[in-house]
Amino acid sequence: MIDLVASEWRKTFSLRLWWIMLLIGVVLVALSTLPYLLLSGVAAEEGLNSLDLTQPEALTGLLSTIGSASVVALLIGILSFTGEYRHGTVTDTFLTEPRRWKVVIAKCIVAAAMGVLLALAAAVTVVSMVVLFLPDPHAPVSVSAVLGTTSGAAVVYALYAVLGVAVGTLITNQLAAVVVGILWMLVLEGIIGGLLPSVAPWLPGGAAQAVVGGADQMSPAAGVALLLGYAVALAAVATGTTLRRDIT
Amino acid sequence: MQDAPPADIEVIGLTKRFGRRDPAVDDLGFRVEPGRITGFLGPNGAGKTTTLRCLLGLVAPTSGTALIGGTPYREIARPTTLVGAVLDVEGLHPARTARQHLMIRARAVGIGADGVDRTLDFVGLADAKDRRSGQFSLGMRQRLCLALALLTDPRVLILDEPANGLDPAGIAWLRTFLRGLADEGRTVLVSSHQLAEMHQTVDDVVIIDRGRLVASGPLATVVGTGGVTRVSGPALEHLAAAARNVGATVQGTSSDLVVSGLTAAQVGHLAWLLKLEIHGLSEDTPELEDVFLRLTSDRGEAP
Ligand SMILES: Nc1ncnc2c1ncn2[C@@H]1O[C@H](COP(=O)(O)OP(=O)(O)OP(=O)(O)O)[C@@H](O)[C@H]1O
Ligand SMILES: [Mg+2]
Repeated sequence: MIDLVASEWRKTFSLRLWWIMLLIGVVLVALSTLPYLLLSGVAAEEGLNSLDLTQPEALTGLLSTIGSASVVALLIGILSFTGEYRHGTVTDTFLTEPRRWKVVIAKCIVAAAMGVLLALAAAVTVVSMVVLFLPDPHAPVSVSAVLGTTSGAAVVYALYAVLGVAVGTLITNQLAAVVVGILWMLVLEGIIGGLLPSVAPWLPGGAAQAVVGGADQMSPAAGVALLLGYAVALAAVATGTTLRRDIT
Repeated sequence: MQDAPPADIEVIGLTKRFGRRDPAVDDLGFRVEPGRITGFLGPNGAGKTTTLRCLLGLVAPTSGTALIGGTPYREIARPTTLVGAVLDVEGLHPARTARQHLMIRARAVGIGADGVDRTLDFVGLADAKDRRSGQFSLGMRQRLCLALALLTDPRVLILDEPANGLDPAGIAWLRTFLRGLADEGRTVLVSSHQLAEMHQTVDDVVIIDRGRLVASGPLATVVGTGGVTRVSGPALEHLAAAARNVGATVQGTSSDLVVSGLTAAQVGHLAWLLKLEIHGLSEDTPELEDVFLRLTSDRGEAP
Protein backbone atom coordinates (compact mmCIF):
# COMPACT_ATOMS: atom_id res chain seq x y z
CA MET A 1 0.00 0.00 0.00
CA ILE A 2 2.82 2.40 0.85
CA ASP A 3 4.43 1.64 -2.50
CA LEU A 4 1.15 2.27 -4.25
CA VAL A 5 0.77 5.61 -2.51
CA ALA A 6 4.35 6.48 -3.46
CA SER A 7 3.54 5.60 -7.06
CA GLU A 8 0.41 7.79 -7.03
CA TRP A 9 2.41 10.58 -5.47
CA ARG A 10 4.93 10.35 -8.28
CA LYS A 11 2.11 10.26 -10.80
CA THR A 12 0.66 13.48 -9.42
CA PHE A 13 3.87 15.44 -9.30
CA SER A 14 5.11 14.31 -12.72
CA LEU A 15 2.43 16.53 -14.28
CA ARG A 16 1.99 20.26 -14.09
CA LEU A 17 -1.66 19.85 -13.18
CA TRP A 18 -0.98 19.85 -9.43
CA TRP A 19 0.41 23.35 -9.30
CA ILE A 20 -2.12 24.65 -11.81
CA MET A 21 -4.79 23.48 -9.39
CA LEU A 22 -2.98 25.07 -6.44
CA LEU A 23 -2.71 28.27 -8.44
CA ILE A 24 -6.43 28.29 -9.16
CA GLY A 25 -7.08 27.74 -5.46
CA VAL A 26 -4.74 30.55 -4.47
CA VAL A 27 -6.36 32.98 -6.93
CA LEU A 28 -9.79 32.01 -5.65
CA VAL A 29 -8.71 32.61 -2.05
CA ALA A 30 -7.03 35.92 -2.91
CA LEU A 31 -10.19 37.10 -4.65
CA SER A 32 -12.23 36.18 -1.58
CA THR A 33 -10.07 38.40 0.62
CA LEU A 34 -10.54 41.44 -1.60
CA PRO A 35 -13.98 42.51 -0.33
CA TYR A 36 -12.55 42.76 3.20
CA LEU A 37 -9.39 44.57 2.22
CA LEU A 38 -11.03 46.96 -0.24
CA LEU A 39 -14.33 47.68 1.48
CA SER A 40 -13.26 47.82 5.13
CA GLY A 41 -13.27 51.63 5.21
CA VAL A 42 -16.64 51.95 3.51
CA ALA A 43 -18.05 49.21 5.72
CA ALA A 44 -16.93 51.09 8.82
CA GLU A 45 -18.77 54.22 7.65
CA GLU A 46 -21.88 52.20 6.87
CA GLY A 47 -21.67 50.33 10.17
CA LEU A 48 -21.32 46.99 8.35
CA ASN A 49 -19.49 44.96 11.00
CA SER A 50 -18.93 41.87 8.93
CA LEU A 51 -16.53 43.73 6.59
CA ASP A 52 -15.26 46.38 9.00
CA LEU A 53 -11.81 45.12 9.92
CA THR A 54 -11.73 47.08 13.15
CA GLN A 55 -14.29 44.52 14.31
CA PRO A 56 -12.93 41.09 15.42
CA GLU A 57 -15.87 39.50 13.59
CA ALA A 58 -14.71 40.85 10.22
CA LEU A 59 -11.13 39.78 10.88
CA THR A 60 -12.30 36.24 11.57
CA GLY A 61 -14.22 36.42 8.29
CA LEU A 62 -11.09 37.55 6.46
CA LEU A 63 -9.04 34.66 7.87
CA SER A 64 -11.80 32.19 7.06
CA THR A 65 -11.24 32.85 3.35
CA ILE A 66 -8.35 30.38 3.77
CA GLY A 67 -11.12 27.80 3.57
CA SER A 68 -12.89 29.24 0.53
CA ALA A 69 -11.42 26.92 -2.11
CA SER A 70 -13.25 23.69 -1.30
CA VAL A 71 -14.39 23.41 -4.89
CA VAL A 72 -10.75 23.28 -5.98
CA ALA A 73 -10.05 20.52 -3.47
CA LEU A 74 -13.00 18.59 -4.85
CA LEU A 75 -11.69 19.06 -8.40
CA ILE A 76 -8.21 17.85 -7.41
CA GLY A 77 -9.83 14.62 -6.28
CA ILE A 78 -12.07 14.37 -9.33
CA LEU A 79 -9.16 14.77 -11.76
CA SER A 80 -7.17 12.02 -10.09
CA PHE A 81 -9.10 9.08 -11.54
CA THR A 82 -10.86 10.69 -14.47
CA GLY A 83 -7.50 11.87 -15.85
CA GLU A 84 -6.36 8.26 -15.94
CA TYR A 85 -9.42 7.20 -17.87
CA ARG A 86 -9.02 10.13 -20.22
CA HIS A 87 -5.40 9.39 -21.05
CA GLY A 88 -5.69 5.60 -20.98
CA THR A 89 -3.11 5.33 -18.20
CA VAL A 90 -5.70 3.44 -16.18
CA THR A 91 -4.65 0.26 -18.03
CA ASP A 92 -1.17 0.54 -16.61
CA THR A 93 -2.50 1.47 -13.19
CA PHE A 94 -4.75 -1.58 -12.99
CA LEU A 95 -1.99 -3.83 -14.33
CA THR A 96 0.19 -2.62 -11.48
CA GLU A 97 -2.57 -3.13 -8.92
CA PRO A 98 -5.48 -5.22 -10.19
CA ARG A 99 -7.26 -4.96 -6.83
CA ARG A 100 -8.77 -1.72 -7.94
CA TRP A 101 -10.12 -0.60 -4.58
CA LYS A 102 -6.53 -0.36 -3.37
CA VAL A 103 -5.85 2.14 -6.12
CA VAL A 104 -8.86 4.14 -4.96
CA ILE A 105 -7.49 4.25 -1.42
CA ALA A 106 -4.01 5.23 -2.59
CA LYS A 107 -5.54 8.01 -4.67
CA CYS A 108 -7.58 9.19 -1.68
CA ILE A 109 -4.47 9.41 0.47
CA VAL A 110 -2.56 11.41 -2.14
CA ALA A 111 -5.56 13.64 -2.86
CA ALA A 112 -5.97 14.31 0.85
CA ALA A 113 -2.32 15.33 1.03
CA MET A 114 -2.91 17.65 -1.91
CA GLY A 115 -5.84 19.10 0.02
CA VAL A 116 -3.55 19.87 2.95
CA LEU A 117 -1.07 21.44 0.53
CA LEU A 118 -3.86 23.58 -0.86
CA ALA A 119 -4.76 24.76 2.65
CA LEU A 120 -1.14 25.72 3.30
CA ALA A 121 -0.97 27.62 0.00
CA ALA A 122 -4.25 29.35 0.87
CA ALA A 123 -2.96 30.28 4.32
CA VAL A 124 0.24 31.74 2.88
CA THR A 125 -1.85 33.70 0.39
CA VAL A 126 -4.22 35.14 2.98
CA VAL A 127 -1.42 35.96 5.42
CA SER A 128 0.50 37.72 2.64
CA MET A 129 -2.56 39.71 1.67
CA VAL A 130 -3.08 40.66 5.30
CA VAL A 131 0.56 41.68 5.83
CA LEU A 132 0.60 43.74 2.65
CA PHE A 133 -2.82 45.30 2.53
CA LEU A 134 -4.46 45.22 5.95
CA PRO A 135 -5.79 48.77 6.48
CA ASP A 136 -5.16 50.54 9.78
CA PRO A 137 -6.74 50.65 12.25
CA HIS A 138 -7.77 47.02 12.57
CA ALA A 139 -8.66 44.44 15.17
CA PRO A 140 -5.73 42.35 16.48
CA VAL A 141 -4.59 39.42 14.31
CA SER A 142 -3.68 36.41 16.42
CA VAL A 143 -1.33 33.70 15.23
CA SER A 144 -3.44 31.07 16.90
CA ALA A 145 -6.48 32.21 14.91
CA VAL A 146 -4.49 31.82 11.67
CA LEU A 147 -3.27 28.37 12.69
CA GLY A 148 -6.74 27.29 13.78
CA THR A 149 -8.36 28.43 10.55
CA THR A 150 -5.61 26.82 8.49
CA SER A 151 -5.85 23.46 10.18
CA GLY A 152 -9.64 23.55 9.82
CA ALA A 153 -9.27 24.29 6.12
CA ALA A 154 -6.69 21.51 5.77
CA VAL A 155 -9.10 18.95 7.19
CA VAL A 156 -11.99 20.21 5.04
CA TYR A 157 -9.89 20.28 1.86
CA ALA A 158 -8.50 16.82 2.54
CA LEU A 159 -12.04 15.52 2.97
CA TYR A 160 -13.31 17.28 -0.16
CA ALA A 161 -10.38 15.89 -2.15
CA VAL A 162 -11.28 12.38 -0.95
CA LEU A 163 -14.90 13.05 -1.86
CA GLY A 164 -13.64 14.14 -5.31
CA VAL A 165 -11.78 10.87 -5.79
CA ALA A 166 -15.01 9.04 -5.00
CA VAL A 167 -16.96 11.20 -7.46
CA GLY A 168 -14.36 10.54 -10.16
CA THR A 169 -14.41 6.82 -9.44
CA LEU A 170 -18.15 6.81 -9.97
CA ILE A 171 -18.30 9.24 -12.91
CA THR A 172 -15.30 8.25 -15.01
CA ASN A 173 -15.92 10.77 -17.77
CA GLN A 174 -13.70 13.70 -16.82
CA LEU A 175 -15.81 16.49 -18.26
CA ALA A 176 -19.02 15.08 -16.81
CA ALA A 177 -17.48 14.64 -13.37
CA VAL A 178 -15.99 18.14 -13.35
CA VAL A 179 -19.29 19.71 -14.45
CA VAL A 180 -21.22 17.76 -11.83
CA GLY A 181 -18.69 18.72 -9.16
CA ILE A 182 -18.74 22.43 -9.96
CA LEU A 183 -22.52 22.54 -10.41
CA TRP A 184 -23.02 20.87 -7.08
CA MET A 185 -20.67 23.13 -5.15
CA LEU A 186 -21.65 26.43 -6.70
CA VAL A 187 -25.32 25.97 -7.56
CA LEU A 188 -27.17 22.82 -6.58
CA GLU A 189 -26.13 22.57 -2.97
CA GLY A 190 -27.25 26.15 -2.40
CA ILE A 191 -30.58 25.60 -4.07
CA ILE A 192 -31.29 22.40 -2.17
CA GLY A 193 -30.22 23.99 1.10
CA GLY A 194 -32.46 26.97 0.36
CA LEU A 195 -35.49 24.87 -0.47
CA LEU A 196 -35.02 22.41 2.38
CA PRO A 197 -33.33 24.28 5.25
CA SER A 198 -33.62 21.28 7.53
CA VAL A 199 -31.55 19.21 5.11
CA ALA A 200 -28.82 21.81 4.55
CA PRO A 201 -26.68 20.94 7.61
CA TRP A 202 -26.53 17.35 6.44
CA LEU A 203 -25.21 18.14 2.97
CA PRO A 204 -21.43 18.09 2.39
CA GLY A 205 -21.27 21.86 2.77
CA GLY A 206 -23.03 21.66 6.12
CA ALA A 207 -20.67 18.93 7.24
CA ALA A 208 -17.71 21.08 6.21
CA GLN A 209 -19.17 23.92 8.30
CA ALA A 210 -19.36 21.60 11.27
CA VAL A 211 -15.73 20.53 10.77
CA VAL A 212 -14.53 24.10 11.30
CA GLY A 213 -16.84 24.44 14.30
CA GLY A 214 -19.47 26.55 12.60
CA ALA A 215 -22.52 24.35 13.11
CA ASP A 216 -24.83 24.07 16.10
CA GLN A 217 -26.23 20.60 15.56
CA MET A 218 -22.99 18.84 14.67
CA SER A 219 -19.60 18.49 16.34
CA PRO A 220 -16.44 18.80 14.21
CA ALA A 221 -15.84 15.06 14.56
CA ALA A 222 -19.36 14.34 13.33
CA GLY A 223 -18.73 16.67 10.39
CA VAL A 224 -15.59 14.74 9.47
CA ALA A 225 -17.48 11.48 9.77
CA LEU A 226 -20.34 12.75 7.61
CA LEU A 227 -18.05 14.00 4.81
CA LEU A 228 -16.11 10.73 4.90
CA GLY A 229 -19.43 8.91 4.87
CA TYR A 230 -20.41 10.62 1.63
CA ALA A 231 -17.07 9.62 0.09
CA VAL A 232 -17.37 6.03 1.29
CA ALA A 233 -20.94 5.77 0.02
CA LEU A 234 -20.01 7.04 -3.44
CA ALA A 235 -16.93 4.83 -3.56
CA ALA A 236 -19.01 1.83 -2.51
CA VAL A 237 -21.46 2.43 -5.34
CA ALA A 238 -18.52 2.83 -7.73
CA THR A 239 -16.93 -0.41 -6.52
CA GLY A 240 -20.06 -2.28 -7.50
CA THR A 241 -20.44 -0.47 -10.84
CA THR A 242 -17.96 1.72 -12.74
CA LEU A 243 -14.85 0.50 -10.96
CA ARG A 244 -15.54 -3.05 -12.13
CA ARG A 245 -15.88 -2.08 -15.75
CA ASP A 246 -13.77 -3.79 -18.38
CA ILE A 247 -10.75 -1.81 -19.42
CA THR A 248 -10.60 -2.31 -23.19
CA MET B 1 14.85 -14.46 -12.05
CA GLN B 2 17.52 -17.15 -11.76
CA ASP B 3 15.89 -18.83 -8.77
CA ALA B 4 12.28 -18.17 -9.63
CA PRO B 5 10.32 -21.18 -10.81
CA PRO B 6 8.85 -21.00 -14.31
CA ALA B 7 5.20 -20.05 -14.68
CA ASP B 8 2.91 -21.14 -17.48
CA ILE B 9 -0.24 -19.58 -18.87
CA GLU B 10 -3.48 -21.50 -18.95
CA VAL B 11 -6.70 -20.41 -20.58
CA ILE B 12 -9.62 -22.70 -19.78
CA GLY B 13 -13.06 -22.46 -21.34
CA LEU B 14 -12.72 -18.69 -21.62
CA THR B 15 -15.76 -16.85 -22.92
CA LYS B 16 -16.24 -13.10 -23.12
CA ARG B 17 -19.40 -11.52 -24.37
CA PHE B 18 -19.63 -7.73 -24.72
CA GLY B 19 -23.28 -6.86 -24.25
CA ARG B 20 -25.61 -8.89 -26.40
CA ARG B 21 -23.22 -9.37 -29.29
CA ASP B 22 -21.68 -12.63 -30.43
CA PRO B 23 -18.97 -13.63 -27.99
CA ALA B 24 -15.63 -11.93 -28.68
CA VAL B 25 -13.97 -14.98 -27.10
CA ASP B 26 -15.83 -18.25 -27.23
CA ASP B 27 -14.95 -21.23 -25.02
CA LEU B 28 -11.27 -20.75 -25.70
CA GLY B 29 -8.66 -23.04 -24.20
CA PHE B 30 -4.91 -23.29 -24.63
CA ARG B 31 -1.70 -23.52 -22.65
CA VAL B 32 1.50 -21.55 -23.04
CA GLU B 33 4.70 -23.29 -21.97
CA PRO B 34 7.62 -21.69 -20.17
CA GLY B 35 10.88 -21.50 -22.08
CA ARG B 36 9.16 -21.08 -25.44
CA ILE B 37 7.88 -18.26 -27.55
CA THR B 38 4.21 -18.71 -28.35
CA GLY B 39 2.64 -16.79 -31.20
CA PHE B 40 -0.99 -15.82 -30.68
CA LEU B 41 -2.49 -15.41 -34.12
CA GLY B 42 -5.83 -14.54 -35.59
CA PRO B 43 -7.37 -12.09 -38.05
CA ASN B 44 -8.61 -8.64 -36.99
CA GLY B 45 -11.35 -8.92 -34.42
CA ALA B 46 -10.54 -12.56 -33.67
CA GLY B 47 -10.43 -11.83 -29.95
CA LYS B 48 -6.67 -11.76 -29.30
CA THR B 49 -6.64 -8.49 -27.39
CA THR B 50 -9.76 -9.45 -25.46
CA THR B 51 -8.15 -12.76 -24.45
CA LEU B 52 -4.96 -11.06 -23.31
CA ARG B 53 -6.93 -8.46 -21.33
CA CYS B 54 -8.89 -11.26 -19.62
CA LEU B 55 -5.57 -12.90 -18.81
CA LEU B 56 -4.38 -9.64 -17.23
CA GLY B 57 -7.46 -9.00 -15.13
CA LEU B 58 -8.51 -5.93 -17.09
CA VAL B 59 -11.56 -7.58 -18.62
CA ALA B 60 -13.81 -9.82 -16.56
CA PRO B 61 -14.57 -13.05 -18.43
CA THR B 62 -18.23 -13.99 -18.88
CA SER B 63 -17.17 -17.51 -17.98
CA GLY B 64 -14.05 -19.62 -17.80
CA THR B 65 -10.68 -18.82 -16.31
CA ALA B 66 -7.30 -17.53 -17.30
CA LEU B 67 -4.37 -18.40 -15.07
CA ILE B 68 -0.77 -17.31 -14.91
CA GLY B 69 1.41 -19.66 -12.92
CA GLY B 70 -1.80 -21.31 -11.76
CA THR B 71 -3.29 -18.10 -10.31
CA PRO B 72 -5.70 -15.53 -11.74
CA TYR B 73 -3.87 -12.25 -12.37
CA ARG B 74 -6.03 -10.37 -9.90
CA GLU B 75 -4.97 -12.69 -7.10
CA ILE B 76 -1.23 -12.43 -7.71
CA ALA B 77 0.55 -10.28 -5.15
CA ARG B 78 2.48 -7.57 -7.00
CA PRO B 79 1.55 -9.08 -10.36
CA THR B 80 3.92 -6.89 -12.35
CA THR B 81 6.86 -8.62 -10.72
CA LEU B 82 5.66 -11.91 -12.23
CA VAL B 83 4.09 -10.70 -15.47
CA GLY B 84 5.25 -8.00 -17.86
CA ALA B 85 2.66 -6.87 -20.36
CA VAL B 86 2.55 -4.55 -23.33
CA LEU B 87 -1.03 -3.86 -24.36
CA ASP B 88 -1.43 -0.59 -26.13
CA VAL B 89 1.00 2.19 -26.75
CA GLU B 90 -1.78 4.74 -26.29
CA GLY B 91 -1.82 4.27 -22.54
CA LEU B 92 1.04 6.71 -21.95
CA HIS B 93 0.42 10.21 -20.67
CA PRO B 94 1.99 12.40 -23.36
CA ALA B 95 3.32 14.94 -20.86
CA ARG B 96 5.40 12.45 -18.89
CA THR B 97 8.97 11.69 -19.80
CA ALA B 98 10.18 8.16 -20.45
CA ARG B 99 11.89 8.13 -17.08
CA GLN B 100 8.80 9.39 -15.28
CA HIS B 101 6.69 6.61 -16.77
CA LEU B 102 9.13 4.02 -15.48
CA MET B 103 9.59 5.70 -12.11
CA ILE B 104 5.85 5.55 -11.47
CA ARG B 105 5.91 1.80 -12.06
CA ALA B 106 9.18 1.41 -10.16
CA ARG B 107 7.77 3.17 -7.11
CA ALA B 108 4.80 0.82 -7.07
CA VAL B 109 7.03 -2.25 -6.83
CA GLY B 110 9.94 -0.83 -4.89
CA ILE B 111 12.55 -0.65 -7.66
CA GLY B 112 15.23 2.03 -7.60
CA ALA B 113 16.21 4.62 -10.16
CA ASP B 114 19.23 2.64 -11.40
CA GLY B 115 16.93 -0.18 -12.50
CA VAL B 116 14.91 2.38 -14.43
CA ASP B 117 17.95 3.71 -16.26
CA ARG B 118 19.27 0.25 -17.03
CA THR B 119 15.94 -0.82 -18.54
CA LEU B 120 15.71 2.33 -20.67
CA ASP B 121 19.23 1.73 -21.95
CA PHE B 122 18.37 -1.85 -22.70
CA VAL B 123 15.42 -1.00 -24.94
CA GLY B 124 17.43 1.62 -26.77
CA LEU B 125 15.93 4.74 -25.25
CA ALA B 126 19.12 5.90 -23.51
CA ASP B 127 19.08 9.23 -25.34
CA ALA B 128 15.36 9.87 -24.91
CA LYS B 129 14.98 9.33 -21.17
CA ASP B 130 13.99 12.85 -20.33
CA ARG B 131 11.87 13.57 -23.37
CA ARG B 132 8.10 13.64 -23.08
CA SER B 133 6.57 10.51 -24.56
CA GLY B 134 4.10 12.68 -26.48
CA GLN B 135 6.99 13.51 -28.80
CA PHE B 136 7.90 9.87 -29.34
CA SER B 137 7.42 7.98 -32.60
CA LEU B 138 5.25 4.87 -32.55
CA GLY B 139 8.34 2.68 -32.44
CA MET B 140 9.80 4.62 -29.52
CA ARG B 141 6.54 4.36 -27.62
CA GLN B 142 6.54 0.63 -28.33
CA ARG B 143 10.04 0.42 -26.85
CA LEU B 144 8.95 2.46 -23.84
CA CYS B 145 6.06 0.08 -23.22
CA LEU B 146 8.49 -2.82 -23.50
CA ALA B 147 10.70 -1.12 -20.94
CA LEU B 148 7.70 -0.84 -18.61
CA ALA B 149 7.01 -4.56 -19.05
CA LEU B 150 10.64 -5.56 -18.53
CA LEU B 151 11.38 -3.25 -15.61
CA THR B 152 10.55 -5.89 -13.02
CA ASP B 153 12.41 -8.74 -14.73
CA PRO B 154 9.19 -10.77 -15.06
CA ARG B 155 9.00 -14.50 -15.69
CA VAL B 156 6.02 -14.15 -17.99
CA LEU B 157 5.77 -11.72 -20.88
CA ILE B 158 2.52 -10.94 -22.63
CA LEU B 159 2.84 -8.71 -25.66
CA ASP B 160 0.00 -7.51 -27.86
CA GLU B 161 1.32 -6.66 -31.33
CA PRO B 162 4.75 -5.58 -30.08
CA ALA B 163 6.15 -5.39 -33.60
CA ASN B 164 3.74 -2.60 -34.55
CA GLY B 165 5.67 0.50 -35.46
CA LEU B 166 9.11 -1.09 -35.18
CA ASP B 167 11.49 -0.73 -38.11
CA PRO B 168 13.15 -3.86 -39.56
CA ALA B 169 16.14 -3.40 -37.27
CA GLY B 170 13.76 -3.02 -34.34
CA ILE B 171 11.91 -6.19 -35.28
CA ALA B 172 15.15 -8.12 -35.56
CA TRP B 173 16.16 -6.75 -32.15
CA LEU B 174 12.78 -7.73 -30.70
CA ARG B 175 13.11 -11.24 -32.09
CA THR B 176 16.59 -11.76 -30.70
CA PHE B 177 15.65 -10.46 -27.34
CA LEU B 178 12.42 -12.51 -27.09
CA ARG B 179 14.49 -15.56 -27.93
CA GLY B 180 16.93 -14.67 -25.17
CA LEU B 181 14.09 -14.34 -22.67
CA ALA B 182 12.59 -17.68 -23.66
CA ASP B 183 15.98 -19.35 -23.43
CA GLU B 184 16.20 -18.15 -19.85
CA GLY B 185 13.07 -20.16 -19.13
CA ARG B 186 10.56 -17.35 -19.32
CA THR B 187 7.12 -17.69 -20.78
CA VAL B 188 6.55 -15.48 -23.80
CA LEU B 189 3.15 -14.96 -25.41
CA VAL B 190 3.11 -12.63 -28.40
CA SER B 191 0.16 -11.70 -30.55
CA SER B 192 0.95 -10.41 -34.00
CA HIS B 193 -0.14 -9.87 -37.52
CA GLN B 194 3.42 -10.08 -38.77
CA LEU B 195 3.07 -13.70 -39.79
CA ALA B 196 6.29 -13.88 -41.77
CA GLU B 197 8.10 -12.53 -38.73
CA MET B 198 6.28 -14.94 -36.46
CA HIS B 199 7.33 -17.91 -38.54
CA GLN B 200 10.94 -17.10 -37.80
CA THR B 201 10.35 -16.25 -34.19
CA VAL B 202 7.93 -18.60 -32.51
CA ASP B 203 8.17 -22.13 -31.20
CA ASP B 204 4.46 -22.67 -30.64
CA VAL B 205 1.38 -21.12 -32.14
CA VAL B 206 -2.17 -20.59 -30.94
CA ILE B 207 -4.45 -19.64 -33.80
CA ILE B 208 -7.92 -18.28 -33.11
CA ASP B 209 -10.72 -17.02 -35.31
CA ARG B 210 -13.97 -15.42 -34.19
CA GLY B 211 -13.05 -16.11 -30.60
CA ARG B 212 -12.58 -19.85 -31.10
CA LEU B 213 -9.46 -21.97 -31.12
CA VAL B 214 -8.53 -23.08 -34.62
CA ALA B 215 -5.18 -24.72 -34.00
CA SER B 216 -2.50 -24.83 -31.35
CA GLY B 217 0.74 -26.61 -30.72
CA PRO B 218 4.35 -26.57 -31.85
CA LEU B 219 4.82 -24.59 -35.05
CA ALA B 220 6.16 -27.60 -36.95
CA THR B 221 3.12 -29.68 -36.05
CA VAL B 222 0.57 -27.02 -36.87
CA VAL B 223 2.22 -26.09 -40.14
CA GLY B 224 2.95 -29.76 -40.90
CA THR B 225 -0.68 -30.80 -40.65
CA GLY B 226 -1.45 -28.13 -43.15
CA GLY B 227 0.79 -29.86 -45.71
CA VAL B 228 -0.38 -30.14 -49.29
CA THR B 229 0.66 -33.04 -51.48
CA ARG B 230 0.29 -32.98 -55.27
CA VAL B 231 0.04 -36.28 -57.08
CA SER B 232 -0.47 -37.09 -60.75
CA GLY B 233 -1.16 -40.35 -62.61
CA PRO B 234 -3.47 -41.77 -65.27
CA ALA B 235 -6.36 -42.90 -63.06
CA LEU B 236 -6.45 -41.67 -59.46
CA GLU B 237 -10.16 -41.96 -58.55
CA HIS B 238 -9.49 -44.74 -56.04
CA LEU B 239 -6.62 -42.84 -54.52
CA ALA B 240 -8.86 -39.80 -54.04
CA ALA B 241 -11.49 -41.96 -52.33
CA ALA B 242 -8.89 -43.63 -50.11
CA ALA B 243 -7.39 -40.27 -49.10
CA ARG B 244 -10.84 -38.93 -48.23
CA ASN B 245 -11.43 -42.08 -46.19
CA VAL B 246 -8.46 -41.29 -43.98
CA GLY B 247 -9.70 -37.76 -43.44
CA ALA B 248 -7.79 -35.75 -46.05
CA THR B 249 -9.30 -33.04 -48.23
CA VAL B 250 -8.91 -33.82 -51.93
CA GLN B 251 -9.29 -31.48 -54.85
CA GLY B 252 -8.50 -31.73 -58.56
CA THR B 253 -9.18 -34.12 -61.45
CA SER B 254 -8.73 -37.85 -61.66
CA SER B 255 -5.26 -37.36 -63.14
CA ASP B 256 -4.07 -34.52 -60.90
CA LEU B 257 -4.94 -34.42 -57.22
CA VAL B 258 -4.18 -31.92 -54.51
CA VAL B 259 -4.37 -33.68 -51.14
CA SER B 260 -4.34 -31.54 -48.02
CA GLY B 261 -3.61 -33.11 -44.70
CA LEU B 262 -1.34 -35.93 -45.86
CA THR B 263 2.40 -35.99 -46.47
CA ALA B 264 3.93 -37.20 -49.75
CA ALA B 265 4.99 -40.39 -47.99
CA GLN B 266 1.46 -41.06 -46.81
CA VAL B 267 -0.03 -40.46 -50.27
CA GLY B 268 2.69 -42.61 -51.88
CA HIS B 269 1.94 -45.38 -49.41
CA LEU B 270 -1.78 -45.25 -50.23
CA ALA B 271 -1.02 -45.46 -53.96
CA TRP B 272 1.27 -48.42 -53.36
CA LEU B 273 -1.44 -50.20 -51.35
CA LEU B 274 -3.89 -49.59 -54.19
CA LYS B 275 -1.32 -50.66 -56.81
CA LEU B 276 -1.84 -47.44 -58.76
CA GLU B 277 0.45 -45.97 -61.36
CA ILE B 278 1.95 -42.64 -60.23
CA HIS B 279 3.68 -40.12 -62.49
CA GLY B 280 4.40 -37.34 -60.06
CA LEU B 281 4.39 -36.86 -56.32
CA SER B 282 5.41 -33.69 -54.51
CA GLU B 283 4.81 -32.01 -51.19
CA ASP B 284 4.52 -28.27 -50.66
CA THR B 285 5.80 -27.16 -47.32
CA PRO B 286 3.42 -24.37 -46.49
CA GLU B 287 4.28 -21.09 -44.95
CA LEU B 288 2.68 -20.24 -41.64
CA GLU B 289 0.84 -17.55 -43.54
CA ASP B 290 -0.82 -20.09 -45.89
CA VAL B 291 -1.82 -22.30 -42.99
CA PHE B 292 -3.15 -19.32 -41.15
CA LEU B 293 -5.21 -18.12 -44.07
CA ARG B 294 -6.57 -21.57 -44.79
CA LEU B 295 -7.42 -22.36 -41.18
CA THR B 296 -9.05 -19.03 -40.49
CA SER B 297 -11.04 -18.83 -43.71
CA ASP B 298 -12.49 -22.35 -43.42
CA ARG B 299 -15.12 -21.46 -40.93
CA GLY B 300 -18.19 -19.59 -42.06
CA GLU B 301 -17.92 -20.66 -45.68
CA ALA B 302 -20.54 -22.93 -47.14
CA PRO B 303 -19.18 -26.49 -47.05
N1 LIG C 1 -15.18 -2.85 -25.26
C1 LIG C 1 -15.77 -3.55 -26.24
N2 LIG C 1 -17.10 -3.45 -26.42
C2 LIG C 1 -17.72 -4.15 -27.39
N3 LIG C 1 -17.08 -4.98 -28.23
C3 LIG C 1 -15.77 -5.13 -28.10
C4 LIG C 1 -15.03 -4.42 -27.11
N4 LIG C 1 -13.73 -4.76 -27.22
C5 LIG C 1 -13.65 -5.65 -28.23
N5 LIG C 1 -14.86 -5.87 -28.77
C6 LIG C 1 -15.19 -6.79 -29.88
O1 LIG C 1 -14.62 -8.04 -29.62
C7 LIG C 1 -14.12 -8.62 -30.79
C8 LIG C 1 -12.69 -9.02 -30.58
O2 LIG C 1 -11.91 -7.87 -30.48
P1 LIG C 1 -10.34 -7.93 -30.14
O3 LIG C 1 -9.88 -6.53 -30.02
O4 LIG C 1 -10.14 -8.85 -29.02
O5 LIG C 1 -9.75 -8.58 -31.47
P2 LIG C 1 -8.22 -8.72 -31.92
O6 LIG C 1 -8.02 -10.13 -32.28
O7 LIG C 1 -7.33 -8.14 -30.90
O8 LIG C 1 -8.21 -7.82 -33.23
P3 LIG C 1 -7.01 -6.96 -33.87
O9 LIG C 1 -6.15 -7.91 -34.60
O10 LIG C 1 -7.72 -6.04 -34.79
O11 LIG C 1 -6.32 -6.25 -32.76
C9 LIG C 1 -14.35 -7.62 -31.90
O12 LIG C 1 -15.50 -7.98 -32.59
C10 LIG C 1 -14.55 -6.33 -31.18
O13 LIG C 1 -15.41 -5.49 -31.90
MG1 LIG D 1 -5.91 -6.55 -30.92
